[in-house]
This record gives sequence, C-alpha cells and structure tokens, in this order.
Amino acid sequence: MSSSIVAGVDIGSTTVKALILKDGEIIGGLIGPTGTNPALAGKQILDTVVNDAHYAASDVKYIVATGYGRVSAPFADKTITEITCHGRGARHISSQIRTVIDIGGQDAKIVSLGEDGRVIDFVINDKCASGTGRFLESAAQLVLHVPLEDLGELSSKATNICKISTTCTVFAQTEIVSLLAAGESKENVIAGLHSSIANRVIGMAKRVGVKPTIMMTGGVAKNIGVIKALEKNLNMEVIVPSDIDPQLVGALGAALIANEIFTNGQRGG
Amino acid sequence: MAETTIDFNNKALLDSLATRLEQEPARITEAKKEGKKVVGYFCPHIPEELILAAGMLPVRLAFGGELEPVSAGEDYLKSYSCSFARSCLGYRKLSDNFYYTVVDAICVAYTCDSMRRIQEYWEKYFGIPTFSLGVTQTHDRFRSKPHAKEYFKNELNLLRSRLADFSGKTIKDGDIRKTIALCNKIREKLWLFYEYPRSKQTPIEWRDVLDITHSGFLMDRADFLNELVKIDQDLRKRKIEEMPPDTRPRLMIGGSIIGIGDHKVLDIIKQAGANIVADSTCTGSMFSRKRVSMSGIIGSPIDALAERYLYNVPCPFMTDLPKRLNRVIRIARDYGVQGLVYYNLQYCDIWRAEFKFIKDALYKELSVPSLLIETDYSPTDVGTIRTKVEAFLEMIGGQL
Repeated sequence: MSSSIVAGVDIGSTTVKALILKDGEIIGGLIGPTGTNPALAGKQILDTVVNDAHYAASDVKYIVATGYGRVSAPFADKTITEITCHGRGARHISSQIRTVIDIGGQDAKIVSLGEDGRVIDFVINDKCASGTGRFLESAAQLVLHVPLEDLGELSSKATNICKISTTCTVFAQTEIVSLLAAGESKENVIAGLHSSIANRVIGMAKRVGVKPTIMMTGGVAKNIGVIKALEKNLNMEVIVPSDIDPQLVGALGAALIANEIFTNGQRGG
Repeated sequence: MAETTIDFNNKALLDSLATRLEQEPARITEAKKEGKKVVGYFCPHIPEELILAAGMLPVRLAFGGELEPVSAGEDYLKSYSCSFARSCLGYRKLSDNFYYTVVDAICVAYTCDSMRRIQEYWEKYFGIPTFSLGVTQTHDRFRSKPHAKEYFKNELNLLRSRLADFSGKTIKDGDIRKTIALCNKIREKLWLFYEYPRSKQTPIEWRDVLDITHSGFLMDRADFLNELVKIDQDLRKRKIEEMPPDTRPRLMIGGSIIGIGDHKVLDIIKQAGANIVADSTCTGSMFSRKRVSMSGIIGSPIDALAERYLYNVPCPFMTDLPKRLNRVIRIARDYGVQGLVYYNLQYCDIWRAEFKFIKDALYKELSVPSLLIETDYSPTDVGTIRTKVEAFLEMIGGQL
C-alpha cells in the first residue's frame, strides 16, 4: 500500500511554507523565500520537504494551498484561505485557543474561534501594509541598521518606550530618524515600534473581540518584543507555538484540512 | 472612454432591454433637438415624478466603478471623499459619458457634505442650472409631529415651481398624478422581480434585477415600463417548480451605493461561488421599495410624494437607526440569507458609521454574520477582498 502523505502549502507575500503529514503526524516542514514566482516557489519548497522526508512527489495524495498566492498554485487540489487554515492550525496545537493573531509580511489578521474551534469572525487589514512584518523589516534595514532577528532582544534593553505615532512604513521612518537625531537610543526606538504595532493590531482585534487563550502566529511572532508589547497592552497572556515554527501554523492548518478531505475520500470511496 | 451602457449579466433574458437601452443616447439626442430637456439627479430623494410631470426626461446619474472619473473629481473634492462623490463631478469634467454631458439641469438633494458641494461645482464650474432639495433628518424621530413633513412639502413645492419655470410648462396636479401612476407601475414590476430570489428556485437572479433597475435610471420611463412588462411576461411563462434549486451560499449586500458599472465587489462574490439574493442599497431594491400611496392619485400629489420620499429612502443619514435595523433584519429574514456583505465605499462615513449596529443586530436576531468590505474603485485590493470573501464563505459554510 502506498504511503498516504498530504501537504499544506502556504504561499505568503514574503515566504512560502510547506508542511507534510503522514497518517496525521507531521513528518516535515520548511520555510523559504517567495521571490518573484510564488507558484514556483511553493512547488519547490514542497518538493524539498517531501524529498527531505525520503518520499517522492507522487506519494503526496492531496495538497491544500493557502496564503495570498494560493490562487496561482496549479499543483494544489484545493485552496483554502489563510483565515481558516490559521484557525485550524492553532487549534491543533492547543484546543484552548479562541483568538489567533497572525502578522505576516504584508498583512495582519485576527481570527476569532468558537468553543468548537470554528471561525466565528475575523478581520484582515485593508490594502495598506502598515504595522506588518514589512514595517519592521524596512525600519530595521533602512534606518536602524540592525538585523531583523535582533529587534526582539534589543527592545528588551529599552529604558523607555518611545512614542511612535504612526504605523505607516514611510512616515515611521521619518519619525525614527527624528527620534535618533534627538538622542533616543536604538533600543528605546525599537520598543516604540513594537508598541505601535501592538496597538494597531489590538485596535483591529477589538473589532472581533479578544477572548483568551490568544495565540500569535506568523513571522512577527518570532519577535519577543512584539509579543511582550501585545501582552502589556492587552493585559493578557499571548502564547507562541513552541514545538513548531510559528510561521508554519497556516501550512499546518492547510495540511490538516488536506488530511481530513483525503481521509474522508478514502472512507467514502 | 467611460462606459455609457450596462454590461448585462444575463444577456438572454434581458436582450430586448439591452437593445432598447443602446438606442437611448440617439433617442435623447433627437428629443433634445425637438426641445425636450433632460434633468439629472444623484440621490433617490428626488421624485422623478416631478421631472416627468414637467415634460422632461429624468436621468439618475449613478455611474461608478471607473478610476478616471474619480481622479478627475479630485480637482474639486478632497482625496478622502468617496469615489462615487468624486465621480459625480469627474464624469462631467471628462465629458465622455453621454448621460452626464447631455443633462440640461440637475437636482441635488442635500444628503451629505459632498452632495452639497457637488451642486455648487456643477453650477459654477460646468454652468449647469441646479435645483436643490432640502431633506430633514428628524422625521422618523418625530413621526407624529407635522413639522418635518411640512418642511419637505414646502421643499417639493419649491422644486415643482422651479422645474416648471425651467421647462416653460405649468405642472398641474393632474400631471403629477399621471406620473405617479407611471412610476408606481415601474416600482411594482421591479419589486416583483426582486421578490423572485426569495426562493432558491428563481427564474431571475438579484444581479439581473439590479441591472434592470440601473437601466431604468437612464431610459425613457414609459418605454422602460414596456420592457418591464415584457420581462414579466417572459418570467411568468417559466416553470419555476421545475427549476433546479440554487445551492450556492445566500448573501445579502448592504452599504453604500452600487453605481452603474461598479462590478468589483459583485464579481469577487460571484467568482467565490456565492449568490447575492437581496440588498439594502439605494441603487438596488430600495429604489423601488414602497409605492406612492393612492392618495397621490386621488388627493394631494405633493402630500403623497412627501410621504413616500421622506420616509422610504434607505440612506442611514436620513433614517433613524431602529428603522434601519428593522429593515435590514426583515430583508435578511425574508430572503433566508446566510451572511451580509457590507460594501462600504471608503470615506463614506454615513454608511460606515452604522456598520457595527447592523452587524451586532443581525447576529443577535438571526445569527447571521456580516463582512465589512471597505474599498474604492481601484483594483489594488482585489486579492485582499477575495481572501476576505472566501474566508467569510468558509466560515458560513461551516464544513471546515
């Protein structure tokens, strides 16, 4: 009997993520850059994951694609939005989750889950990418000149949280330059950036209501400074997946849905 | 080049109407040569009956969905005015939409800050005579007291005399009674069509009725009624009980104006596999909701027009909240909708401000969830809107 492997592929604006399950258990997951050809990047990352797990592409029986690039993924059997996938992935990690905050490369979304784990409401930012991963990336690279990965740790050394009044990527850079010129430390400025992201996301989250337990996913969840700022401003605990990379939660949800569809199909047929 | 006709969704059913509509610009041009005047208006508070009674052609200038007129309108209104308001000026400024160019005068109801200035720009910058109509905001709250209706009746009488002066024809009560009868017949047919999608077995979709409604903004009204009668006869011949039920998720669309040609959000919803069955918008079913009472035909026509136009326009700025909520809940219940897509034109505060009330009330009363789509006429956010709509459908579908 051939192996029943299913896959979830999450094609985001900045990174592509693939995760595979065998009999419902995770056997591989990988993150790579999206580049200029999202569909190709998605296929390549999936092939790599499958290959690394010592399987052949033909062993993959069902693929669910998600993320903004899902519509251009011809290799997928089905496409499901990242809202449903993040909800499903987070609930798989912990059945207590009622709110998922996902901040990715160019969007932020909040998913509210019912007691049974179904999505009951959600909100996604509109076309402007302010207050998302891109916002932190450009501030780190263009004005602060520090590696993106270091932002979290640097912010923990802040002695004061600077007020940054905007989450607009362009305006914030001007504001950061002024703050640095006025003698503020990098650390204080970074703490300010995290606080401003947290406030923007909380503003969005209040539209759907914030119920505990809260899980944060996506690339920005790797930044401990943002997590701390969210916890402080919400006055609630925010958990981050520990056994799995928080960037893979969407792909995990997609793979779980793929597994369900495939298993049901096997039973039915 | 701006669109001046309607891209009908259901060409087979609406073939005769489409053909007739295509002839309209040529017919209007001919009629103008014989001295006929054309009067445009934007918001549905203007009684077409008065324009018709003066022997003039009413045209509801409600095109939308195109970027160029929005940019052109920025010469006058701030960039954070809604796309529709800017288009109201932009189409005329660009002079490539027949209907905006052909009008001899416009009527403007004071329904929002933008509308007020739109009137003045048309007058001062385009040299077009304009007639204003004041509308009250407290009429619902003080329904039993006469002051709001008295004010509105005075406004209507003023509009009547100014339209009469402009046309050079006296408007007699009898003239208005005739046009009330005509407009009521149009409303009756349109409303009949909007009722079909209450059932899953329907010979006509909501989107088709929207297209028909929009045609009626532009066409000679008597000819429009003839076309409606033809469509009605066609629909009555169909064996509805033999039709396969439409199994797509049933949605209601609410929010700001859906302009003629504004397909962005409607197309995304359709491509996502959902079916819009009802609406609460002023260019949709609400335009034909409620006829002018029979007292308009046997008693004072102005009194009856005031009653119809003051208490039955859908605009949240002009309507008390409990009435708005009841109306939306009733439509959602009657049409068995599974979700509301609230399409709000960005920067339209009037509709955006009521969203939370509508969302919470619909959920509380009917467990019907709502999705807010705030956007404009630019295509940049199509991907994000698609994700929102698909996620909403996954949510209400509940199978995941």
